[in-house]
Amino acid sequence: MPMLYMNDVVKSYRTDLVQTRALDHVSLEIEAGEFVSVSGPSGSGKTTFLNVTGLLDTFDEGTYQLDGVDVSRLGDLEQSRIRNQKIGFVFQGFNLIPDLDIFDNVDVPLRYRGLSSKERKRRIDEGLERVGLGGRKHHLPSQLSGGQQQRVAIARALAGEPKLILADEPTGNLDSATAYEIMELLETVNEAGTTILMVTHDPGCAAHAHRQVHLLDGRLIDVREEAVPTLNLSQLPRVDESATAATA
Amino acid sequence: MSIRMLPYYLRLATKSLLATPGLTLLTLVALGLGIAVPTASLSIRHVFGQDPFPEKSDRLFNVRLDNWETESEFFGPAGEPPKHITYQDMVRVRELTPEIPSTGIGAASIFLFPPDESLRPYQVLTRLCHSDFFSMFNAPFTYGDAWSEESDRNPDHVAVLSHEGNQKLFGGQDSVGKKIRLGEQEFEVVGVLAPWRPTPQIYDTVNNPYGTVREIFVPFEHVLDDALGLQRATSDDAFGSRPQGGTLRETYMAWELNWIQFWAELAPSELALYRQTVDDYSLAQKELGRFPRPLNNRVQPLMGWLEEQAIQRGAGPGTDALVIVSVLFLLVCCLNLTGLLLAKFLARSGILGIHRALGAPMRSIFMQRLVECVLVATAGGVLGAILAGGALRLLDQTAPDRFLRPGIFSLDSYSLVAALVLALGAGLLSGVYPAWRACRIAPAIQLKVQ
Amino acid sequence: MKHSIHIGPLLRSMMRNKTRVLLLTVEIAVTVAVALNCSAMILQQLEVLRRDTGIAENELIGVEVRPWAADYQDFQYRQRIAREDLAAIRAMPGVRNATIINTFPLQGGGSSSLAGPLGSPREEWIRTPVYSADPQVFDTLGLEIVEGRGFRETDIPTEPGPYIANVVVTRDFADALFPEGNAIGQSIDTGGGEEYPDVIVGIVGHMFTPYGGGPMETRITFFPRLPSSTQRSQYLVRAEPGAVDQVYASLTQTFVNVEPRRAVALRTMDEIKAGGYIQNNLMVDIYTVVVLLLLFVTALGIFGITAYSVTQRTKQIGTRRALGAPKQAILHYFLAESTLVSLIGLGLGLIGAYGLNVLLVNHAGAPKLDPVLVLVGSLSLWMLGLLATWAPAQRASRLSPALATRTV
Repeated sequence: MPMLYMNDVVKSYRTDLVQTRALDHVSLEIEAGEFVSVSGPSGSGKTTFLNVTGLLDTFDEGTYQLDGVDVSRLGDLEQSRIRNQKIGFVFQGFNLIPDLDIFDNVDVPLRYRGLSSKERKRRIDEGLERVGLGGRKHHLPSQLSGGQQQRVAIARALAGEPKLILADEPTGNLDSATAYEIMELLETVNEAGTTILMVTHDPGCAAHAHRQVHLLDGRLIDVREEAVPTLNLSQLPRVDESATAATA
Repeated sequence: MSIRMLPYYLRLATKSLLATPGLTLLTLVALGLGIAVPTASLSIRHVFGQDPFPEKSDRLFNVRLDNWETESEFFGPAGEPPKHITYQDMVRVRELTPEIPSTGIGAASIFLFPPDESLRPYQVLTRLCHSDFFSMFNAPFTYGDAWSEESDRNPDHVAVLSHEGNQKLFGGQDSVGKKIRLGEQEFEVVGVLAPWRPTPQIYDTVNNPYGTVREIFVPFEHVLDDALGLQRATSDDAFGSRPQGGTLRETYMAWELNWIQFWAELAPSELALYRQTVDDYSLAQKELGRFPRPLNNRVQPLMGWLEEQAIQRGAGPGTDALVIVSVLFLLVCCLNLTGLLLAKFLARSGILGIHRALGAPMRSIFMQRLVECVLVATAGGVLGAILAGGALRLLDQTAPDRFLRPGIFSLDSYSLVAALVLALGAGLLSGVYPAWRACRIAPAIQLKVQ
Repeated sequence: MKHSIHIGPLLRSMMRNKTRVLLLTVEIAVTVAVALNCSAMILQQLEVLRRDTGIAENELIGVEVRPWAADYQDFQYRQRIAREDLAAIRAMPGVRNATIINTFPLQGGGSSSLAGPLGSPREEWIRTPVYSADPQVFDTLGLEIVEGRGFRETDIPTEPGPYIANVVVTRDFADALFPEGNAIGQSIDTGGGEEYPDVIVGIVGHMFTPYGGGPMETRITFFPRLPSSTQRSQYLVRAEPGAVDQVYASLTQTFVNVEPRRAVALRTMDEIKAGGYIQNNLMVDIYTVVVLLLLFVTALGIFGITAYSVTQRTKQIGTRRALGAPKQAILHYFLAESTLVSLIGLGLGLIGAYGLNVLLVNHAGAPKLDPVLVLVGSLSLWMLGLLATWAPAQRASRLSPALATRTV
């Protein structure tokens, strides 16, 4: 049974005037333990793809099973539980909560899981040690460098022992040396058995993945099947990524 | 689940409030004022509208007889009998109903001669009443007791001191048996009251509803003692002129001077008969040429009398308007709070989105935000209670003691409960919509500005 | 025109922020409704407080004297002491005049009587506050005799009991009794009947004393007498302007010098008046505080909500600036938005104000709303809205155009 199974998933955004198909019959299977990268130009539907995959957004048609569970018909409570227990997120902007210190940031998903305080502390300490930040538990995110913040984010994603890590341009805001370290870290995590799905347009990052897929105009192109077409930026349709933002 | 998460939500709420100190301060000030104003006006209204004797207010009756002439209208609300009765009617009605506890209430000033002859005599306000007064109005005694009915009749030279009077005259010691000189006659102290602040002072709503308790109580009949130099200090109404010549008793027994508040304590079973007795008395007086108007007597329960008095003085409706205004004031503050919370939650939607992405269900976000609202509201309530306490204190100090006794306006338990209830109500009411909007923020993987 | 505010985009922007606009509108509406009604109540009370009493309030001291000596049982003794008191007071430096009077004016209530032209049916009599005082009462109070004469020493009765009195009445009372204007010389009945009528010998101008409301408060009668009872006498002392404190300090001693067996209590006319106007003063104080706080809270709310709206629109504003909008345009945009919200709020608020007014008039004796007050109040609220918007709008206008290109 695949970790992730998507079949003919369609997602459209409608405004009064136009309908934009952000995901156009996307089908994808990812086995447990795989490290897959998704790349594509700005506006190709990467963000929508990641939102749908991470149960952050709904889709209109098709099937999506995560770890054998059909998630399309689940209510908010169940979806939240799956996000909390099965998925770990790593964001481009790190997205640590600025009011909370490092310890509390890693604590957030564990709190929603309802773990005992002893268990939470153990996991947080362990997670922070693992990313080499054991000594900075009570620093605020703003007191850390970008690379350190991303490590915290990874620690937060791992603390819940998820089956799938969704990473969105995890190195987008980092210099190349730090980016390399972060990719190494993700590889280590993957080697320990966690499936990783990473959205990136950085070929260097994508190279760390076992498999690369491409998105173009909302359609998925698996490199196992086709060659990557060359892109002409000027011809790209203007699918507005901020459309998701507007609904937020 | 929610209860277990409560400490965490409180922590998140605290962090969130501290993250925007300016806005939090703004919210607190607005809400604090929003709570303070209605709290203060509710306690002002409470002072003016409370039932001073909930345990027996249904058994205390104010008695009025319409002895007024036909040629002129009584100076007061149309259709109402005079607010006071005459001495002669008080005496006769008491004679007709010897089994019924009843008391006349009069106020008079009298000279008190301090034991130390070098000190100048000074005028004290004295309460004229009958022995039943103390039991009827649950006056609490620290020392001694009320005088006897026999002392009423004689009248004996006995006096009951209020707590304040005893403090002033005897430094608070047990003064029972000691003498005081009133109008150059010796009176023996038979009882000393504990601190007693019936609010309003129901037995004297006409002259002194919210002022201080009189220092000295003496048997009513002393009013007939010419040599004592008692001077009536009540509002009064009269028609005709004062009968000339004769003793003071003869004068009072013929004078149409309404100046006495008269109260009776009646069990429900006694009420009808008592009313009948009073009316029969009026009819009998008609035979003698008095009571020229149609029968218009009142045996009115305490609360009804109070309401009528309050309306007459304007205190009741005045405070009603204040309460209406205060409620609207709180509404404005709630709208403010809603607007500010909404702005804040939406401005922090990125953080909420992360919580959602990390597995917080909608209901959890909703509860978190509501906890934040309640936390702000509680802090606002505390601030409001403090502000209300300050305002009431200020009001208390500005108001002349002669009309409003010191300490009449204060932050009592009633006001505190009011503040708390208002604060929580305001917090929940204002918070529900912003919290609902907050929980509908989509889970997000981007901290978005704009 | 360098830049102009277009209503269309403004309205559309407001439609997109329905909740914020709705909250502000309702808030302003409720504030208008409450503030206008409270102001009306304050003005009503102030009118009572500021009402011209016709009396030289600032120069008067009231003295309450309570004797305990048995000599006071004697009418002649009381009269003699009263004359000696008055002579002693008038001889004091800084004293303009003094009078002995039965009750202080302005203390709230007093003594009143029904009166009518002699022989008229009692049902038609009207009520008049009654003051008994010696001949100097008019100069002491600061009242001017506008017709006829004041009191003479010979008007004062030498024996106790009823007497045929020469009375002085206020213009209002004279006109109420004798609408033809021929009051001087007329006999009236204040309860003495045919046997002891009173004759109007003089008319004073305006005087007002609070007495529970109604026209009787300016229909006042003065009787010539030295009102000194066995238990109490009251004097009013008029000091020369500026000499009130000096006179106040030495008055008690003057009385004790004449007859020591008495308690003397002094009050300035302001203190006496405070008792008569206690409720009015309380209402004015309370409602003024409430209105000021309400305006403050509303301003805070407008400020807070606008400030947040600026924060939320930072990028949008930056973009506008980058596209060439001058600072002024941004400022004007926010002020125009505030005005539009205020206008809608005021519109709703005026409806609410009249609704609330009906409630308050019926249940709380509040006055009806005055159109001038409504106009002034509405303008003030609009100004308040602009004022509260000013700071955040200024901040918005200073935002850098560079913000347009910043993503986070």
